[in-house]
Amino acid sequence: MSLAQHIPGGARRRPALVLLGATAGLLALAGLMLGPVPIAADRVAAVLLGGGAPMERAILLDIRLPRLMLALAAGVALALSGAAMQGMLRNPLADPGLIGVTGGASLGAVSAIVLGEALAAGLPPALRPYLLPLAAFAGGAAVIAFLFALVRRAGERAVATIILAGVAVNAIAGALIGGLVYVSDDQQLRDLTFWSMGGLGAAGWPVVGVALGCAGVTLLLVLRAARALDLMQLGERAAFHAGLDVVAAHHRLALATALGVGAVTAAAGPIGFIGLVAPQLARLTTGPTHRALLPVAALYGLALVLAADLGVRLAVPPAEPPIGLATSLIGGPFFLWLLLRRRGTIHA
Amino acid sequence: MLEARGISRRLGGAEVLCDVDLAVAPGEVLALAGPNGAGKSSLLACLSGALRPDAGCVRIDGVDPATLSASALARRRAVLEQTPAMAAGFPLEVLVGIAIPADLPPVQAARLVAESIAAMGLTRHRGRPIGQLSGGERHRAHMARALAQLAAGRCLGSGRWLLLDEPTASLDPAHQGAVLRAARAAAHDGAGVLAVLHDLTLAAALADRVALMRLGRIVAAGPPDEVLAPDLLTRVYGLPMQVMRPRGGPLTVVPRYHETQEGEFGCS
Repeated sequence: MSLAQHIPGGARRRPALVLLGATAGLLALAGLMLGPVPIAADRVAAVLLGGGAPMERAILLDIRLPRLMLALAAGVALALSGAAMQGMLRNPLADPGLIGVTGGASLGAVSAIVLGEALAAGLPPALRPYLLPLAAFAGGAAVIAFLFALVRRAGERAVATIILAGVAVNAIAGALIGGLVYVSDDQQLRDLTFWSMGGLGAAGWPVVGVALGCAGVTLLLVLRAARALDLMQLGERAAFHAGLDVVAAHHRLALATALGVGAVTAAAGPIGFIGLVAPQLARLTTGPTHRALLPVAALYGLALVLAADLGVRLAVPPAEPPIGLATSLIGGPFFLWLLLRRRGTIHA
Repeated sequence: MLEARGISRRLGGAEVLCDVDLAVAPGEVLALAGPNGAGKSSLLACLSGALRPDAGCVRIDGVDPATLSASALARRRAVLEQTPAMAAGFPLEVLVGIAIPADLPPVQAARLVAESIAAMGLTRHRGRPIGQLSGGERHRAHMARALAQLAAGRCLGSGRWLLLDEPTASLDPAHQGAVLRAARAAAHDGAGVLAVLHDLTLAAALADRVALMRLGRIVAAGPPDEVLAPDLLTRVYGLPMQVMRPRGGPLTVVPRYHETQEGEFGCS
């Protein structure tokens, strides 16, 4: 229904989309142009159109383009997973990292790195290169399934329970990851360290392809659930009365979140705060109606990841601090500001 | 018809409904009354399809609601819950139109939303977020949501039932009147209305029939004049009740609190 046209906030959607889209586009172009070897915009265009010098082609097509595509997948999937979680739990502070989904995905990924050979033996050969994303997806999905079982038991007071359970899940995942690190050999330790710092540069095309595909599914599932997410704000019983198959909608959104967070965490490591911050910024821009909020949240996520990636690449070249550092430096203070601002109105 | 046939239901180990028979006819307003914990909301939840009975069956237009999808059910009946979540950020129009099926043309949907908002006296609050409205205004906004859903269901050919759980709680007398008028208007348009009410004077003014519940059972059902009798009410509520009917005037039920002995409230 297009009531959105008649309400405040709906009118602010288009300028926000254009502005954010342009910002993300400029950041993406900057990401392709800047680096140890600067490439001018016309040369970038030439390479993307199939021409260009061999060295520029190699730099752009093998290094900077997969990096950009991974940023696209990470920004969109994390932002929409966060929006889906916040909508489902009716709590604007929910975030895949806070409630343990990223922790579960990380545990899956670390297990794949350390126990990779043993795990790969159980997989058909065609799937073996995808062990890392598969394991991260399984870890994220397991945490989400656990949290939903908890929602069923806790009933209406589920939200506080979920967030506390997320703290516990994060602690358990952290301890198990610590255990795996303890038993890993030198090479695995090296792989682990690089992966756990998070970064868009390390992944090759196959893993980036999987992340893009999964992010695409997340995008589709979450955008199609805009009305369901609106209805969920009434509470589960009222959402059912208004015509929503609540269980099916929960399952679809949980799948979308596990897929998106799992694939992105596998490819880029744990990236914090995008899932929390992007939907919040979108809510401030467009209001709470999900049809308007979701596309804007996805663009905020993309712009934030691109900005953070550009930041870490240009801060102290040629060294590259982990991207999680930049997103946490943006997201941490924002989260604190949000908490302090909400203190007076949290029950309103 | 919207009917419950011999339904029983246990919740958390306690039997909240016990062999309940109740039917609402199209065009009729049925008030459901009884003490707290009598099973009124559970009965309403069974009739709405949100709760499945352990025994017995529910039929909505002759169909078992468990066999209908949530969206098909939503076209047949609209429900005002006792305590809906606030959905604080939504503007009034979005909340009121939120349950209208997407296949109703937007212009028609916008018209139903405006009419429902007007019926609940909320027109001057258009565009404001629900969180900025008072408690009573929020309650009326949710009532408007149920009315819009029912009207949309009617436009799509199947909206026939309106289930209201304490629609007048937290409302001042004037707005209680607005809710009653809206319920009567829905019945006039052919809908069957079931309303859980605590105010028996209101129930007498609104309803064609009143059903009294106690401890999970229907103890009496019939026209207000018959059911709202002092002896029966005193037995059901454990509180002396006076029923007055000034010549030609409305039936009035007055609890006689001052005659209550300590410890008598709510006990059997």
